[in-house]
Parts: sequence; C-alpha cells; structure tokens
Amino acid sequence: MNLIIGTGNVFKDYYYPNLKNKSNYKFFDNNPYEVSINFKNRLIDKIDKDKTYDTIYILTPPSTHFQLIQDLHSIGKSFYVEKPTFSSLIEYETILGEIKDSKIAGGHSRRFFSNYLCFKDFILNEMKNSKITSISACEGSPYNWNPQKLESILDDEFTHLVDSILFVTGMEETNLEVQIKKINDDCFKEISVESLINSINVDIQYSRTRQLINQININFENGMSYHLNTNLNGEIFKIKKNNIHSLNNGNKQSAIGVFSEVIDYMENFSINNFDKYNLLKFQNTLRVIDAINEKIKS
Amino acid sequence: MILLIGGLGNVGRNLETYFKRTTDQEVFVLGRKPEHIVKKLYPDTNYIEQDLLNDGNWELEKYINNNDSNLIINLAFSLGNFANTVINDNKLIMDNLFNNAKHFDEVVHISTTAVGGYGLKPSDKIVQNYSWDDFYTLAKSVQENYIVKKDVPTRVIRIGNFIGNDSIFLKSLALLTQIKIGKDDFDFLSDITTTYDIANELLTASQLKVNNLYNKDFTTWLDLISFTKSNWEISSELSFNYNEASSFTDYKKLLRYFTYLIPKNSQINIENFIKKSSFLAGNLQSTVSNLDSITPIFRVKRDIEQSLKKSMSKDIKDYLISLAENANSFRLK
Repeated sequence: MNLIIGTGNVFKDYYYPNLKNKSNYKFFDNNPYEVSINFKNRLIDKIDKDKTYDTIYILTPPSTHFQLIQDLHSIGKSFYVEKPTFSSLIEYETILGEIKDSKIAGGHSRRFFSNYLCFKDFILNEMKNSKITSISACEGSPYNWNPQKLESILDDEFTHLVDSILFVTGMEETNLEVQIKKINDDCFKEISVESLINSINVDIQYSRTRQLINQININFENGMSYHLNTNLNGEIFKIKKNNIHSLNNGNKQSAIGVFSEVIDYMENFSINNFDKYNLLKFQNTLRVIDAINEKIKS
Repeated sequence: MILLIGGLGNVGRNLETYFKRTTDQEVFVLGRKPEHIVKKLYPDTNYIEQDLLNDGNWELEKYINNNDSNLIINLAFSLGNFANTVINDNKLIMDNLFNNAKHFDEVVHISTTAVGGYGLKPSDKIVQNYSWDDFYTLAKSVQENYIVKKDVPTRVIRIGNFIGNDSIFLKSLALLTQIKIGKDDFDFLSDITTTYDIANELLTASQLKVNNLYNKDFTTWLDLISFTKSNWEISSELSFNYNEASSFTDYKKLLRYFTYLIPKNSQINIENFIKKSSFLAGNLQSTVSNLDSITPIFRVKRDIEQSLKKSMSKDIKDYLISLAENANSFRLK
C-alpha cells in the first residue's frame, strides 16, 4: 500500500491520472472538503501510525515537507518528495540522521524528461574529450499558474534549473564547491545568479514576467557547445565552429507520460538495480540554493 | 486616466510602461489574473482583478470618472483548444465589456491586421467573416464581427507585427540577428508596429473607424535584420539551415474547424484522454526548438506590392536601438 499526502492541482493533473492500480493507494489531505469527488472514496481522515506504506508521496507545499517526514518516517519504507524538496540542506541532513531504514527520493521530475537524459549522454561523452568551461541557463515566460500562495522563484522554479544543470553534468552526486559571485534577486519576478561551481562559471537566470530563451548551454574547452531547449519536447543542438547541428529534434513525451514513469519508478523503487534518474542524490541542489540564500542574506 | 483592459499581455505591458513614462495620466490595468499574484509580479501596476467572462456588474465607476478625460483600451481576448469555446468566450467578453463600459467614454478596440488572414493586405473595413488561420485570428475576427453585428460605436486599431520588449517578433529578429542569412532572403514586408505607433494613435483623436497600423515605409525584414546585425551587441554569424522554417504549412486548419463540433461538456475529457495517450499526445504535440521562433516571420509573410520603397526612418532605427538590450535575452550561444 502507498500513501499520497496532498491532493492539490499537481496531484489531480499529473499523479492521479497515472495511478494504474488505485486500490494500492490511500490519499490524505488537510482540507478534505476541497477534494474532488472522483477520489474521495480513497481518502483517509487520519494517518494511522501503526500501518506501513511502501512509498509515501509528499505533494504538499514545500514548507511542510520537513515536518511531515519527521512525523511519518517510521511508517514509510520510502518517501517521494515533490520539489523543492527541503528548505535547506540542514533540514535534509537532520532527517537523514533521524531515519533508519527509509529512503528519500527527491521529486525532480525533469530527470525523467527523455531529452534531458539524452542531453546528459552527450555531455558526459564530450566530457571524456574536453573540460566544461562555462554553463548558462535561461528560462522565462509570463507566469501562468494560479497557486493559493505564490512561492519565491528560489523556492520553486529555480530548483528545477539548478537540479537540471547538476544532473546533466553528473554533478548531482560529486563533491561540490559553490561560490556565488553575484546575484540579482527580485524574489518573485526575476532572479539571475552568477556562480562558480567546481571551477566552472555557471550563470542562471529565471523570469516570471519576461520571455527568455529557455535553454541550458554547456561550453567546452575544445570550442564545442551543447544546447538543450528546456521544454519537455525541447531540441538539442551542438555548435561547432559557428555551425548549428541539430542532435535531437526533441522527443515526443507528454507531461502526463512523464509522471506515469515517475509512478512506475517509485512502484519498483526497492528492486531498481540500475538507476539512471538517481533520485536519491539531490542534496547538491539544496547546497547551491543554500549558497544563494546565504549570499542574499549577506 | 488610462485603462488597459486585458493589459497584462505583451502589448499591454509595453503600453503601460510607455504611458507611465510619457504622460501624467493614471494608468490602470484590468485582467483576470488573481490580484495577489499580480501584486507580487508587477508591484507598480494599478491593478483591477476582473474576469471578463463574468456577465455581472464590474463596477468600473469606482475607477472611471466621466468628468475626466479617459482613454479605455480593449486588448482582451480569450484563447483555447476548441473553436466553439474561443468563439463563445470572445463574444461574451465583448458583450460584458460593452455592457459595463457603455456609460463611459468610447472604448478603443485593439485588433490585428491579420484578422482577415495572414499574409493578406488588410482591408479598411471591419471584418464580418471568421478567420481560421489560428485561434488568435479567430478570436480577433469574432470580436470584429461582434462590433459590426451590434453596431458598437468604437474605433478599431489593428496592429501588425508588434515589436516591443519581449514580443514574439523581437525574439524572431534577435534570433535572425545571430544567424547567417542569404542576401536575397527576408526581402519581404515587415509590417511592424511599435509601442510608439500604438500609443501615438491612441492619443490622437483620429476619425478613422478602422486604422491598420503598421509601418508604411515598406521596410522589409531584410532591412531590419541588416540594421540590427550592425547595431545590436547580440549580432553573430551562426550557420543554420532555416529552409524548413520558411516553408510553413498549416496542417491543423481542418482540425481547428473540427473542434467547433465538440460540445463544451466533453472538452475536458477529450483533453485528458489525449494527454494520457502517448500516441495521440505524440502526434498532436510538436517538438520545441528555440529556432522555431523564426517561423512567425514566414507565417505572416507579405510580398512587396510596389517598388515605392523608402529608406528606414530614423524613428524605427532609434526604436530598434532601444530594444538591443532586451534582444540579449534571446542569445543562442
């Protein structure tokens, strides 16, 4: 049996439609009156701490994740925590110190985008020939969601971009040295960060009010550069001596299809031997966000 | 006061900034986005949250005083994935808007020169037929049709290919500024409209019932690209084969007509069914490339109709120079 906590829009639009065997799931929400009639019959009004669940999905607002896992770690064999996973690395490390047998998977769903996985292959392959000199990532479009509370960019979309950069370069699990050089932080509108991560210049910009180019660029010492359009079906191209070569037109994957893979992955979490998504390794993403927050405070 | 209805879109954002900078009028923006979000995204905007599909009383008198001179501008439209919803919603927006605004000064309606179809010379009359080139032209043609049918006393200003901060055509131009282009390519009319053109027209007491507002100097895209290549910092000479983008074919027109037949109460189920089917989603969904943003230029392509070409005006040159920094947002490399 699995338990899903939080039945808001993300649950309704992405998770619920992908649950193949709904009888293997229970749902819990703090506001049961707002829960759709479709899945009301699987809703529990209280979490029974004497039961054990294979996976507990935490789909609640980010500020609640830490407390929920602290309260529930004894009844969950594994946790899947929607991004942004925790408010800080300390929160995550505190949890790790407290739990014994449970595992925590960071819900960075972009790791399931097939164009990201393909891009990662290109990058890791090129890294055998040359060193990365700089990375830039840019994303922006007028904000189109309708949340009850608007989170700051740093606590929301920015974690996607940071995690994507670390994941496609294999830095999600290496030792990480982070230095934030410059930050222009409007918190809700637009953020740009200039940093040095493992001696690589990494510039990231995210806007909720402007159109930007939606791209991760990775430049190598040998003059080659690789470019990923960060949309779900985004193209990958390479620029060599000023010539643009398309490497992958963009895979036709649907947003709902991505979450079907997430659910499949979590349902087989305990038996996965080879894990290309590496969801247990997300602490470096928190490390970068921590460094940015520290720079803002200073 | 100036009221921009549906003013959170790209044209509205540019107009709001321009009016605030150049006039002493109080500028309000009315839109359907929740106020608590707008306040955080655009803290300097005087915002009125109002769902334009709501047929109740919008209480505009709270903001509009008939004793002052007011400029009320309608930029609002509604898009969707189903033609009948687009048609009904845009009729409803016009109904609600003119019911709520009839006690006030005239509302100036903003439309598009593509309202009769992309690539055609725009007519001087309000269109009566629906355009099916995409759901944007459908929405705008429904609105013009409403104005004719209900004989609404309003001025219609049609804008061409809008170039302003963060606009689609600025992105196209920024990309082409970075790409090596053939010397004979892009030698077709640009039909651009600037923020200045729209603001100037709005502040002028024009007698024209319909004004097609685009650059009358017969400036081509080639002229614009040549200028930005010499004057924008983003300029580059990357090699990219844009032939595929230049041969745009609209495969979805029939599908657009077909969506007219789908009843409203089935639409969400159909959308969910498509999203859940990897086969359907894969076939109906396009892949995305940043270089796709060149396509709109070919989509709206209009050939030079006469050889009365003048040189590009200083105003346009100055305007393009003012957009150089914004163009940097679309740097490829």
